[in-house]
Amino acid sequence: MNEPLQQTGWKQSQYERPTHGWVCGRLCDGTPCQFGPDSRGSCQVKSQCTPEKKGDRYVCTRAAIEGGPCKDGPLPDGSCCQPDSRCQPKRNLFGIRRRTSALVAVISLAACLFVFGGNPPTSPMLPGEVTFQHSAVEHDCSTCHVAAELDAHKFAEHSFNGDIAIADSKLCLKCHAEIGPQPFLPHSTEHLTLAGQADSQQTEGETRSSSEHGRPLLLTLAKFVDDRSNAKTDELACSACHQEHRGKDFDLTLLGDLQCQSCHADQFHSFSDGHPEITQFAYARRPRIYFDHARHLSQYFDETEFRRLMPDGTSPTACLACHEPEPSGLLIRTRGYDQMCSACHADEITDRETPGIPFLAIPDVELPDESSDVLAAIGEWPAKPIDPPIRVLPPFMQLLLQNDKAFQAAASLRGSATDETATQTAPDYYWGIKSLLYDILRDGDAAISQRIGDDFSEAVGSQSSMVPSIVAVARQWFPNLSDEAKARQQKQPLPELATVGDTPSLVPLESATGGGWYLRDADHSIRYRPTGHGDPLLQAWLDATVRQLIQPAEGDQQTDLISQLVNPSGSGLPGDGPTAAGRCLKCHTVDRHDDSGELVINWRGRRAGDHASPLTHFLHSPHMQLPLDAGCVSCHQIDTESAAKETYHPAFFARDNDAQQWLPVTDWKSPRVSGFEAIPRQRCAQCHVEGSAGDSCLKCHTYHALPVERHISDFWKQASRLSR
Amino acid sequence: MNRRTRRRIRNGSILAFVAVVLVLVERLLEISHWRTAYLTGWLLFGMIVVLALYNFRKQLAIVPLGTSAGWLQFHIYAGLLTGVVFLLHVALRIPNGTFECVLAAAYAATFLSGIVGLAMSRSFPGRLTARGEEVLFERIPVYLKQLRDHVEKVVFKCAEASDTTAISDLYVNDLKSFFERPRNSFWHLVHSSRPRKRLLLAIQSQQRFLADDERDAMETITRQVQRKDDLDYQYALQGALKLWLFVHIPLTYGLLVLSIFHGLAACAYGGIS
Repeated sequence: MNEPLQQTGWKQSQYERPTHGWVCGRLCDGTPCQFGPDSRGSCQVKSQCTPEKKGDRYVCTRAAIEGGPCKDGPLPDGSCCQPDSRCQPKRNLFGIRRRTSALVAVISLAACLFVFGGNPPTSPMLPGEVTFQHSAVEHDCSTCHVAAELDAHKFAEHSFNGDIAIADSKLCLKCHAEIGPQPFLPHSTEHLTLAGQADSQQTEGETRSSSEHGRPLLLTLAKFVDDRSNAKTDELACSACHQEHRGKDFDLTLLGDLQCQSCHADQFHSFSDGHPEITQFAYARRPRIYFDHARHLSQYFDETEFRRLMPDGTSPTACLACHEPEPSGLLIRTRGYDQMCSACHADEITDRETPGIPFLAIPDVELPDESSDVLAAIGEWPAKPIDPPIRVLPPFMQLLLQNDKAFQAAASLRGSATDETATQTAPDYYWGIKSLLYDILRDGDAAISQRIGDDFSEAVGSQSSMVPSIVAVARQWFPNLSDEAKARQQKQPLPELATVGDTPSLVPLESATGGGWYLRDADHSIRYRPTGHGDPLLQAWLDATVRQLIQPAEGDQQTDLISQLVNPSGSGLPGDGPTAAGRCLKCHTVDRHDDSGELVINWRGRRAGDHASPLTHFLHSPHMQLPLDAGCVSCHQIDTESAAKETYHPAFFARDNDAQQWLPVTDWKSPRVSGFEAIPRQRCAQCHVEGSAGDSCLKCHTYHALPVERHISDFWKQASRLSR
Repeated sequence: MNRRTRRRIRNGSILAFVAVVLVLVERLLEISHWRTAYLTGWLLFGMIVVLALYNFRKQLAIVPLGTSAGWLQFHIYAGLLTGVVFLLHVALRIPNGTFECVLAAAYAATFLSGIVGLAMSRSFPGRLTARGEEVLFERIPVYLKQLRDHVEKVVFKCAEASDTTAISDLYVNDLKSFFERPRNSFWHLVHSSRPRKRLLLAIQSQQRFLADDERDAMETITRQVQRKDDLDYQYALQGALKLWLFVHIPLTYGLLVLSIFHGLAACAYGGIS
């Protein structure tokens, strides 16, 4: 039998239908029928017929295609004589495959409905472990996902809701409230705020690169795919950058440098190639405490000069003499006044060599015509002082007399009116002063408060009172003030007591050596010397004074008051006097608020919000451990050119219009003065390159404007994680 | 260079180009803060749906939707491209959730089964042609029975005519089971003739015990053994060409169902932004 097995003639080879799904049940025996099963899997072989009675006989009715009438014919009872030779069709491979596919689909569907149909969702649905920071809520999907609380019929509808990401992000903010009020804006910050912080503005479609190799190619191509230059106000969901469910140790803050740059105007290849120079000092404002590093280091701390100024002292020789690392490792802070400044400045603050700040003064009686009537009208008055008397009343005293109309009228005529007029109004002038003293004698601090307003009275009431000093003044220089005041009030002639010039000069009181109020008998003044650094009275007075100065006018009494207190070259003697360091506002700057115009004195140094950019941070402590030959000066080099050419730096003090006094500059933003040269970027790039200290954007920058303390915490956590 | 080679080079180049463009676009979109996992996910799902339509295309022969060969070419190269899209979608990571692991495993199995099927469909037909007579797979049982009946007829005839039982013993011991059904599929798949040689050796070893008239019968039996072996070869390779689809197609349907739920969950829990 060497003939081919397969015959191809049309009579020998029947048509195969493998896509029908069924084959004859006898195929496995090798004897399949020629018809094959139908599409429903039923055998089409009809070996039996339905006999038909014709006359008295039954005849076979089997069709010709099925073999035609059988030879034996039906049985006498009319049933077919042929055995039922139908087969049990079987599924072919195609049919089995089709059933298998359907079965697999049904099983998959059932499994999915089981996994996804639970409420809460079943654990197999969890797409991976969450980071360890979120492990406490790993099995409570509704903590982070709105969809977890939806019923199954709302699930599909919710899937195509375009606001899902933002809705889920709001759940993040329930715990992460520190992001701020605009969490979905770029950098979680108002655009205008960002624009104000940036040196360069990104205009429509404009990007540039400082890199010598131009902008990275991928960023150039990305611009064609999605131009992010208009993305200033697009909302960004948390999940845009923070991908969870990637394992316990996954870094949620991971972000590529190119992703950072895609929205920025300045685009560059790396930190060492094209990154903008570090031109700004770390702080967005001038220092709150005025300190000229260049002048101190080059002049005051010079050995020769220092020996002259502080013969018994030791000049600082290292930065750490005045600066110390913060425990957090973020900053190098100053040590404090007592450790740094008091050795040189304590005496100047207490002002022992100068008379102190005059608050009240008794002027000498000066009349064009000293007739007896005028003198009698004036009454009792102390004799001429030893020192030249104060001709211009201290500003504070002027403040107390500002509402005395008679006094103000008389004062305006002094030196300008005719002799007769000035003589006639002289008693009003001097009685204005005596009435002031009498009111204070009678009513104490209340009288002062009533005359100067609530702000100042609050300062008066909070600190040591000047009333005892005034009582001493009255007792010493106006012993009969009460009687005279009562007579004047009753419009009666004054008692014939000691008249002007008759009061003998009393023994001068000792000057207050310990600070505080004291009588200066030499010029008939009540003065105040600071008790030391941080004198509470002066601090309160200055705070009250600057609060009034929203729009100071020239010649305004309050302006004079503050100028007297702030003038670093004044000792309280208008127009002259030796340079007296130690005035509070020589070192403590005054800021004017942009919105309200209010003035605020910076009694303390750096504050948390002074950082130039909450998006940039630098931790000193890991850098302090580097073996730098020059130490701090490796990065912080004194800008000798920025040293003040005049006595005081123009960013902090300016001459008044008369070039007589120094007034504080209240603009805290310009110019930014640090006293140090800009840190060259390449200095940092010596270590911060890929493969070494790293040059990722996230090394120094953060996306969210979080409190700096958070950055410190994150830094140490990362360091701890990397060390494991 | 023949037409097939040119076609492979052309289609392979297009595939490589599209893959590079996909990778580049995905990278650029990722730089621009797009959630590329959603894009690649929807793209992958769409591609799988289109690939699955090939099965229906084969059943709709009347509808003018292009040639099946053309569809097959598209199916192969688009299927290979899904591998690139899948790797972009998972970001070259192994998923670490139960459901996602199952989904990834289903895709991997579908993809690999496709690769295996492609390899078989390109190598087996040539081997089948080289072997000898090619028969329809559905008729193999019929031909098997024919061979079996013929051999049994020869054996019975020898048993009646001869006093010796060498041939009948040989048939009972070695050949009966051989002729019962298709055998040695694995050896045929790996293109090994070891079973065939073993049988022929067994037959050869009986030659010296045969009489002259029995030798003719044995020769006939030997030829049937060879034909049976050829038939088994056809059965094994054609069977493999059909059975691999039992993995590829059911997995595709399962993959589609799992993907739908995965997509809904990803969109519901992760957002589309």
